[in-house]
Amino acid sequence: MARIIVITSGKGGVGKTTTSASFAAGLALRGHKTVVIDFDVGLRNLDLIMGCERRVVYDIINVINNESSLNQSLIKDKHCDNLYILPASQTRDKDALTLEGVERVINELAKDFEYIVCDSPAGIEKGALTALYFADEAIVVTNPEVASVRDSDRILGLLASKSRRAIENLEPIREHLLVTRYAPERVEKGEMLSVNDVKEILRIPFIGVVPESQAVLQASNSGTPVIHVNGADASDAYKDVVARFLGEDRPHRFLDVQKVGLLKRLFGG
Amino acid sequence: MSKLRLLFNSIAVHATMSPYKSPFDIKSASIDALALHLYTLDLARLEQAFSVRLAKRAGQLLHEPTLLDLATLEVNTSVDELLALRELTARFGLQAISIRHPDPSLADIAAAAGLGWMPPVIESTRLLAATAEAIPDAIATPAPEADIPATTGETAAVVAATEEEVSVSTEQPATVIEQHPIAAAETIVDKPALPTRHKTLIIDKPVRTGQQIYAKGGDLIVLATISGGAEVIADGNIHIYAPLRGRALAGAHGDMSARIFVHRFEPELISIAGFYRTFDTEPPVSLKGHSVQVYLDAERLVIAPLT
Repeated sequence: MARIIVITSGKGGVGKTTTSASFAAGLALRGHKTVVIDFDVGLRNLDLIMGCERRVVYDIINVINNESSLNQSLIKDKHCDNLYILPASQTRDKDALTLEGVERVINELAKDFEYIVCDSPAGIEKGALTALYFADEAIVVTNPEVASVRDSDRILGLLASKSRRAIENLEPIREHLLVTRYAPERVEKGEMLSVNDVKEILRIPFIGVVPESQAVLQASNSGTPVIHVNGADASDAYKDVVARFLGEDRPHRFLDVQKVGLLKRLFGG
Repeated sequence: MSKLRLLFNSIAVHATMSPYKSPFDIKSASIDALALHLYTLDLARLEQAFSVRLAKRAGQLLHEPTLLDLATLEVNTSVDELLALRELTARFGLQAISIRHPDPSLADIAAAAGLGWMPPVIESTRLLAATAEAIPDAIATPAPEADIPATTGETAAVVAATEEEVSVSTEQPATVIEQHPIAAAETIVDKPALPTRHKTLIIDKPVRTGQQIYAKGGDLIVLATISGGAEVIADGNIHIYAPLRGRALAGAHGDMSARIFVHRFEPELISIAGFYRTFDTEPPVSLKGHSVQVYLDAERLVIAPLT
């Protein structure tokens, strides 16, 4: 049975798409057949982060409207074998997403894939609600600042009320807290909420932090999920997150200020 | 019935005894009324059935306030028909005050016949049960996408009223205008003689930002964190065995004896019967994060640590 995982946050710009790309790639690297769906219809981004924007022919809306088959729309990732991308439409808007259509697409994908990763758009409107509706698990991406935390809290409320599992009174969605763009030195200066602050407010199981890193921006611009950038903190962090998601017990890293050597300071990490 | 009269009495008292005040006050009132469920508008048949069922009680039913429930009828009624119906029920001691039907277009016709209109409501006990089952947004948020219009509408209406109270309460608590359009409908029971037993609503899941829980007609017990930006409301007392970081409003229908008990006190706002306090500046160290109770002493909001 395929697991459906939604990457969500409420607030925009916190790293949902970055996380979707690296998390899905991480699952694929671990040998699991994975598909990542971009639900941000009208503001298609995932294809850029995955570096497949020039290979998009058909998208999820075409599949929903029976204008293309699923196989025509799925794009095979160029970095790893087990990963496919189902892009969003650039020209349509969120109203084109229907629950029935998405359900049909997800049911069909569930026959072939072990994990279905849903990259949610920001906000709490139709796109976000559709992305989270079928989820079995949710990775709630939060930045260590109050607005992001509050929006995550709002999304947690929606997961507990507007998802299929909530409406049909099934076992609730498994929630995971992922804190991204974390900068321990700024936490120490009191400019940023600490992981413990965020955990205390949201009170859901914690799956890890992804440190603020130059590598993320560079990787995004070059169309490579940052998990593939060997040696980057963010890459190691995402690998840890995937491992923890798969049930491994890994100690948390990147929580404290690291002693940074001169060379590393010059060339980034 | 008696409460309805009380409403008018209180207006009169203010007019004669308080020359410095506004000549009238509007306050909310709940009345017990009979709900007369009609399954036909055939007046002859109704009259015959009334005379069998009600004739014996004609002396007891002295102008009893009555709601004409036409909800099961596909009504294509007229002013004259309603007037005739009103006259008929009056002869049997039932003073029709309003009709109840899902079609709002009947409101004008009812008004022309001197009757109010209200939509069908979910009985309060069932509402509480439903709220308890599925905490969340359908009922909890006055959001446009909510899918239970009847309940959501009610919650929204009551909350709007609550906030209105809040906004005027510091200046003139005595002249608070409360608009509770559904106050009468809520308490309609078929046997007004029985005392109403108010259910307690128990919430054991976190109340998240943007969610709203309303315990209609009773107490509310919350066993999980109430986040900032979330709101819990009760007509009775509120007990919170977890951190309160959002808003808590007890006595939402004006019960000044309602209290709030909080295990960990870090709220944005607390209110009892419309007397509120915000916490723009943090609560005093002796209270923040402690177990406290909140109650009204006359018209003063008291926050006291629980020892």
